[in-house]
Amino acid sequence: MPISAWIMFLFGCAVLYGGLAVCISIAIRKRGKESQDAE
Amino acid sequence: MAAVGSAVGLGNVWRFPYVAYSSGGGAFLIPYFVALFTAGIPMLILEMGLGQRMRTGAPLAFGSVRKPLQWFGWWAAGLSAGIVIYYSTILAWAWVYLYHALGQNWGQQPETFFIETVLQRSASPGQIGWPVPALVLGMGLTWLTIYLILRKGVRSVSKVVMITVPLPMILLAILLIRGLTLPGAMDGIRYYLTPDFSKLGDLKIWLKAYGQIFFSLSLASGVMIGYGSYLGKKAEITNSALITGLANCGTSFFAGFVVFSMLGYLAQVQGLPVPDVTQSGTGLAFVAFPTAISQLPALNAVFGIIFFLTLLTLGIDSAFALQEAFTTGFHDKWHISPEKLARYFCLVAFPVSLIFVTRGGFYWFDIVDKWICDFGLVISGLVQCIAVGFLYPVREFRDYLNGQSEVRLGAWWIWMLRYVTPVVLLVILVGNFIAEVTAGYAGYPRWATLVGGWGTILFWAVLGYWLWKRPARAAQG
Repeated sequence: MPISAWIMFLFGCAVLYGGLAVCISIAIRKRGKESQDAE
Repeated sequence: MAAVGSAVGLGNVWRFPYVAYSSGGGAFLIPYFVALFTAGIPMLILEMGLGQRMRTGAPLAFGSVRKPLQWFGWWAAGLSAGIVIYYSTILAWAWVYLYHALGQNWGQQPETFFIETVLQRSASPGQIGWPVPALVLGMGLTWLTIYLILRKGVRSVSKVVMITVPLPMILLAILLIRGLTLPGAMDGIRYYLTPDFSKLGDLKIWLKAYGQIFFSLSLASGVMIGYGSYLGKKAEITNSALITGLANCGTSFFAGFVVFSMLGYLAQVQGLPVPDVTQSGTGLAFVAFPTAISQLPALNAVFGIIFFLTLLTLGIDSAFALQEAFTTGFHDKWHISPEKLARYFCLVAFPVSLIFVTRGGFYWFDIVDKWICDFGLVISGLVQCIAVGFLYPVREFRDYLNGQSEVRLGAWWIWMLRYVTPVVLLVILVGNFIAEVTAGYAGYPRWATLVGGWGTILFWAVLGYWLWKRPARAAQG
């Protein structure tokens, strides 16, 4: 595969799946904090 | 989990692969990512936040911004009704394929099977012909299922959907593994990923990218405003919107690998270049996925049945959200019960949707899909950005969203809504309108695009105006 295709692949994975992982971790952290506050 | 569940739908599995393929594969991905970050995510935050704050559907939410904007709200919600009416066609196809999956009746020529056996397609949109009996049955089953489940309550369905959310991802992963091990698969992947910078100046591809983002994220049609209205007062909007947008596009990106690996395989079998391997357009998923299912080493019928059942589950789930985006306005304004609204809607929508299962129906389906997504939703997105960006206290709205969110919105969000997104959408729309007027679309006769395309857009605008002008009924008690 040409380098430009690899770049597109890595960009798509990093932005979409990496971004999703970061956002989900923020949501989990927030939920944990909320349940701690509730206790 | 709920956000991810709402993100995965037919827009990812059915629409994204065919739009990417018809736009030149890798040439499509750059506009698609730009559309996600300039319009998709900013507008998702806007719509979910607006719904949560106003606690009402799109017509009355926009009516609260400025009274005449209620007309626009009705029109946007009408587009969602238009989508669910033509979208039911894919579900009718899926019912028919569910039956054929038992014996993999598509054989070695899935495209010929789709066009000649399933659609029994005529030569042009003018040759409408009679509805195809098997597809009428599929359409009837679709609307009956929608009605029965709506009658029982959407909450019961959402529980089922929560269980079935991981299923499409698991199936796509299995099909991808098989796809990548087939000869020629890498040719398809190369076509999918290699950017074609010479096509970045083509406004048609940009319009398709924005149309796909709007369709897939259910934007500019009142769906996400309705979704937001059900969220709790303290629910996190910004991060939920980011998760929804990224999960949605991540699923599309993933589904693209499955379909393009199959197209690479078909190209090698037929001895053709990847761009020439199929002419099925909007029916691409019904060529690529059956090919993938046939190539599995074992349990093909079981996988086929599970796959088309999953497609039906995804489609029916999205159909509720689309139907509700339209009927919520009637409930808000005239206090008609949701059960009665669902019954009326299904009774009207079923006969109208039969046009798409006639022998010429595939062409009308293609035209209506193109006009509603690429023109209707994009125009609606443009109006929405301008209306909220300039007529609504948007800075105070941003502070409201930041008050309950871990992810804080900066000035970039307002800047996107007010200037970047409207300017980009306006340039794309004008360019494409000129191209459509001068060159037409996909070789269809002018009268067909006028009736099926602009006629559909105009119909919802006229109906929206009439609904806006009807006096509201005061709540009883």
